[in-house]
Amino acid sequence: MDCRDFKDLVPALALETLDKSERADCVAHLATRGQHDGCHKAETHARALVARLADVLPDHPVKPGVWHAIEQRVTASGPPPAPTRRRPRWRELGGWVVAAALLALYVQKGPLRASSFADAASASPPAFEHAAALMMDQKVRRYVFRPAQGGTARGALLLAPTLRKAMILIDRVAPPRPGHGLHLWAVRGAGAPPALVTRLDAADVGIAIADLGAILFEPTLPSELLLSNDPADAASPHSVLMTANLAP
Amino acid sequence: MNRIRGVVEAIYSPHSPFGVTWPISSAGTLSAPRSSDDDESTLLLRVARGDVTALRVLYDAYAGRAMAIAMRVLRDETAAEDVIQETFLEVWRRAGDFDRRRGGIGAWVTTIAHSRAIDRLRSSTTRSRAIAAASDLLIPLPQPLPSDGMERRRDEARVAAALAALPVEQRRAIELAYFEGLTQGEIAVKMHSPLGTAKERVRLAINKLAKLLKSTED
Repeated sequence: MDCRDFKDLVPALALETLDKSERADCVAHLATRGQHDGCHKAETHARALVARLADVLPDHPVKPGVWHAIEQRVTASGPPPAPTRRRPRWRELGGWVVAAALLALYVQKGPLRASSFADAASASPPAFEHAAALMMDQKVRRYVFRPAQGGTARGALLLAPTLRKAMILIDRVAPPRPGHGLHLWAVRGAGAPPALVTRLDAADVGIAIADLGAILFEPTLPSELLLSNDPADAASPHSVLMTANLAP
Repeated sequence: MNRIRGVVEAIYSPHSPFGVTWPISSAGTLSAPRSSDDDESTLLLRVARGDVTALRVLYDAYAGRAMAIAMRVLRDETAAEDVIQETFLEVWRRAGDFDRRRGGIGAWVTTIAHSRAIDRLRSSTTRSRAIAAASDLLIPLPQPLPSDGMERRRDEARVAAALAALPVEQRRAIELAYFEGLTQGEIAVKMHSPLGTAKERVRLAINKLAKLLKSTED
């Protein structure tokens, strides 16, 4: 996608009416470094314009309980994360957006073409670079997670048995509540209880990328993986966000 | 933007229930913010520092609008309320990163609410149901209120007039996208038109809307 293509799509991007792959292409284009022909400005203008469409709707009353719920949640979550210096912050977020966009492409379409990948990957966070090679490898097994009912989380497991290497990529996860965290569980065999594989840290844009190394292969490959959002000391999964079936 | 000013002035009045103080000039009068942009910057700064009262000001100013768009997209009050919670939690978390050069806070809040509502719609609804459920009617546009000088009313009237001036098919395409959460492919199905036509309608409609609004504001 070049800047001209992007600007053709920017009205639809702002309206959130693009399909997943087109949206991911646009997000990846915006996040690429280098010269743009007014792409960011076009996106800003389009989003501001589209937001004004809501002006034609009369305000809808909100029950008092909604504010109380928000107040409780922000109080429990503590003060907002301190913003870092503006420029590095945007670069970092841009990188995560690229990672999310590439993950979306990968989940939907499978192995990525190097030509469409190289520019975007250069802007992604370092953790993502390790996944990049696997995402272009046709021999890597790709397992897409199924979100729990009503969930929006998205994820993929990349498994390279010959290299005994595995990576998990997740996005659209809500930030865990204080004292909670993302847990990856493995089920090995029918009836076996889920065993904790690892805990994952999500970036504040809702993305987690983890190199699992060889731990998934020992003692045997799991038949199922579960990702949950549970208290840090959880002994079993309760709040499952998504699952992946690894059984042949 | 006058929403913020109205709410700020109410909250910072000497009778504010929020127990916060606002600088009083030497003459003893309330020193109101110089402009709504100042209001926004100040409020966001305070939210970024963890001031829940400032978040409440933003909530009072924009929750009704955010709820309207969430309700319109989701048509489910409980789901829309969840979206409002997510929206203002995101405002809380990201206030420090808000870049005013990218637009006003009202547009930002509305965009977050719309985006979260669309995410929820697409994760919970089968697309054939979404297409079938999408309204066949154009959105009833608000009538301009004579002698109503509020900036907000003028904004509503400008947007309504610009939408009304679009060719019907273009307006319909925009409404299906924004208010019903359909993708361009789904709009094509709903409007019984080729995908390329649906895409072109969306593109032309937004570009024309921008020109119409600019012409009324110049």
